Amino acid sequence: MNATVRRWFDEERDVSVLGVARVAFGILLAANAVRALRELGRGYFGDVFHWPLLPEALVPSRSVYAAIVATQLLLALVAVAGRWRSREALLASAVLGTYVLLCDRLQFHHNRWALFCQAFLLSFAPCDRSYRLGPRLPSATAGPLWAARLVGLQLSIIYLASGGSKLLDADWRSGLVLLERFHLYASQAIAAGVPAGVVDVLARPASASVLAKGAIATELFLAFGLWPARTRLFALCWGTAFHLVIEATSRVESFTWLVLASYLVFVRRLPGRVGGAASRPHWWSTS
Amino acid sequence: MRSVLDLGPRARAAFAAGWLVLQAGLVLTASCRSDGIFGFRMFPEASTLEFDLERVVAGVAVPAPGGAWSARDASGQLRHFSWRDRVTDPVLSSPGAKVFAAYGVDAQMARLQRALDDIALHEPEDAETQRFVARVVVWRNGREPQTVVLESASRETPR
Repeated sequence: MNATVRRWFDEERDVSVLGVARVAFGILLAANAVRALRELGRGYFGDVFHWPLLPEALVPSRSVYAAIVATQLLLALVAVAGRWRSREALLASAVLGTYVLLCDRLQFHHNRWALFCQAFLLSFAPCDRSYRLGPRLPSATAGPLWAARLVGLQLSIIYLASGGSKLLDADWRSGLVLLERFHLYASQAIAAGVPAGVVDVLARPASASVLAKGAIATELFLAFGLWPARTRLFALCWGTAFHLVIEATSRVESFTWLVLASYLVFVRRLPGRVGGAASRPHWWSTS
Repeated sequence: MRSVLDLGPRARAAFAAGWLVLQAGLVLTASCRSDGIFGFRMFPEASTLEFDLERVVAGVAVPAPGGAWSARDASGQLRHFSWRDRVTDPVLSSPGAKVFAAYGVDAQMARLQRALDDIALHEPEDAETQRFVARVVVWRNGREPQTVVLESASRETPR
């Protein structure tokens, strides 16, 4: 047991793929900041009804808030570039995002909180050694995996919490929640091009019941199935398909892309790197 | 380049343990928070709601259709007010319209209660309204409608 725990924290391996995750998380943080700036253009939440988790005195003024979000954007871009203190930039951008989230719980969305958690955790991993602007680093593609594993563990927590809460909810288990969603959004789905016959089949209680049980089983499977090597590839493929379906049918902001980026911590190497360095533009060094 | 984020073996274990305890605590206590924030309960309900705004003036409930009303200020001048000027949240900003209750009915009821209290606190030029009332019709996961009445905190009015 001790040896397993020690290995969990101390094991080192090729961490090149974490550079891709850093770039992806940085882009998602930047997109989140851009959204906040756009919303600020329509009005500042602090000037109207809002519900802070922090004491009201800690909610910034409009100008300070604008500066915070702009800083968050800048830091996210520094993280993407990977050239200078990109891990610290990733961490700081995530912390600023969390602070903004705590200023108004009306703006809380699970996908935003998940993004800040994942970016925060990844900043503790050596994700700045690859996929960075500038010259190649002389070596050092191997690094400790513990923080990347923590990113994976956080993803498992999200799946477990989401699937577990649905499993404990009788309305979810029976398919009632999904059925009502189908009823509420059937016209929009048809308008978006989904055949009316498909919508009609989905909006039946028996179909909704089967799909609900499938969704719960999928989330609970993904919480654990991403870890063993034997089930990992299937879990990654199944999870990708699952999230793409959700992306196509629901508004989840950047959650789909966050999850797919988080899946990278379960990948040992990108296909192009098997057996050695892949050819890439010289300014986008991989090691 | 070495980073302050490169933790030593002991710090790694302490950090990971602290993180897991934090997340477990937030997930397991999500039910204690009306909106379940930090609990990662995705798509918890498919409920809808509709509410009408009223205000109590001299002890009598007066409708505020569409969230708009007129009232006199302390100097007796008639002024116009709108719920939407203060409440811009997509779900709560439309009195009289049936809307999807994002994050569930409990989350939206808690937010609506807060919004009523906020309005009561932030309309100092309305010298008539003693308190605000929301009559909310709730369809929880498509079930039969239920009506709930929420009231703001009482306001001090000169008359």
